[in-house]
Amino acid sequence: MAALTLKGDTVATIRGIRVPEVALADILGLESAVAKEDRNLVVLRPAGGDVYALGVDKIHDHEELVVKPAAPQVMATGLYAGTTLADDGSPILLFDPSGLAEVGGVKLEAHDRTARVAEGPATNVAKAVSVILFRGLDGARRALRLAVVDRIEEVPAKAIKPGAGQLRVQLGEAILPLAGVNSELGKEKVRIFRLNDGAHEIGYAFSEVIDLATIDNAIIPAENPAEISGVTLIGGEPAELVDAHWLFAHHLGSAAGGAADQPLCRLPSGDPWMQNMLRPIVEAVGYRVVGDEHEGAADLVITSEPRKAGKGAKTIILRSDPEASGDNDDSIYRYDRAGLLMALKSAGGKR
Amino acid sequence: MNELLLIVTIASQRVALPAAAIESVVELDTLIAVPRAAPHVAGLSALRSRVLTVIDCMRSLELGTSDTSDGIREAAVVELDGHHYALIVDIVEDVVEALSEPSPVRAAMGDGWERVSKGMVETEVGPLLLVDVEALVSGAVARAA
Repeated sequence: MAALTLKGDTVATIRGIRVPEVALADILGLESAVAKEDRNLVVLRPAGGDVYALGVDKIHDHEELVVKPAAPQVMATGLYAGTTLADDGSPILLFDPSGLAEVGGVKLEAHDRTARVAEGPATNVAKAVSVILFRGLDGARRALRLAVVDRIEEVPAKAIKPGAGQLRVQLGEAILPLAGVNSELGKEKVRIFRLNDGAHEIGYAFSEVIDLATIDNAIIPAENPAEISGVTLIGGEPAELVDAHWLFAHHLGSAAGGAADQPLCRLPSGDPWMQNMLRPIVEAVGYRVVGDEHEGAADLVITSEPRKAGKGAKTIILRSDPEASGDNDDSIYRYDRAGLLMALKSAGGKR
Repeated sequence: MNELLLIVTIASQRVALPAAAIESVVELDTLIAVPRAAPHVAGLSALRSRVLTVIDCMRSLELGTSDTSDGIREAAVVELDGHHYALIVDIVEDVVEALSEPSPVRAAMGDGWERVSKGMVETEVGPLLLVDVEALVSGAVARAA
């Protein structure tokens, strides 16, 4: 990122676009303990205005806040949009991006609505697909569509472990399938893209982000559908395009499909054997398990008492005796795993 | 019944605030600065999950700056137009009854006091200057504008 200083005003170049840069400390008339080169830049686009970069000492966190208007004496500065309270009860001032720009001397109106592009063709910018260009764990240049990347997380390598048939990563309270591990994970921290398809999340390990880019060149498709859907030139060098659909299809497996389309299975809530032994099998096949108290219709009812067989719904009757009691007995011995799975699958399939 | 007055000391001067306007008297411990705000805005503080805009009465009267270095500041909390303000004073003394209607002060008091004066009231502890809370909060700048 190059900076050009003109009569005290600074212009920063971020991803090929020149943006005016102002230091928050200067606007506030405060001394900054952080050298100008070491400050973080926050790129802001005030409503209806042009982008500019705000130099700040440190970025702590992002949070959703309930903002209340500040007193007129505070609003009169033109810098603030309101106040809120932090978790510890101390007040936080909320800045107004356009106010900061105005007080900081950034001329929002003087710039073009579309920021000046310094390099590369400016045509079709609106149609271009934004991708995040990164280096995979194996060092290859790859790109992922920006829209599927929810956020970037950094996890200790020990948070990544094989579990239930594939590599998984623990992110806070969630355990996600992990893709992109094509090389050694290293000992310390691993960076992960958190990908989101709207219903499910998976992780994708990588080594570093190179840049944000757009796909301007033709995509040469891969011969076989796999993790890489094709290659294209990004920034003058070939980059592999990661197929997010394949990632989800491959790593999510049977867990895909929202809770709404899962068939319902009613199990007696008071039966410990049903709840502790049977329930995991039923859920693994893809059913959502409800108890006796569930009001609506279930797609499948499993019971040990033939009298309680549901009306209309398919019913599996389990018996504790390995031998059938007679020719008319269509119940299944409860440790006949193969028979049970067959019944579960056929009941789910013929809905 | 006569109006109740809160006796406070601002810039070593005993004055009265209308007690009806005062919500509470608090001791502030946190004070978050508001850069570029008017000089009499000492900062922000919080009281029971409400943001208080802290007004330094001495600076509002252009009589110097309250010493806020010791960490704890006594302040009177008021509400104006839906916003809560804490007015930093030297000491909060007592609540007394006004024994007269405010009468104009004919002595010279200085610009700051002149601006916030609502007149002189008689009390059992002697005559006191009745201070206009709103004028304290708006400060000297707002009046010039």
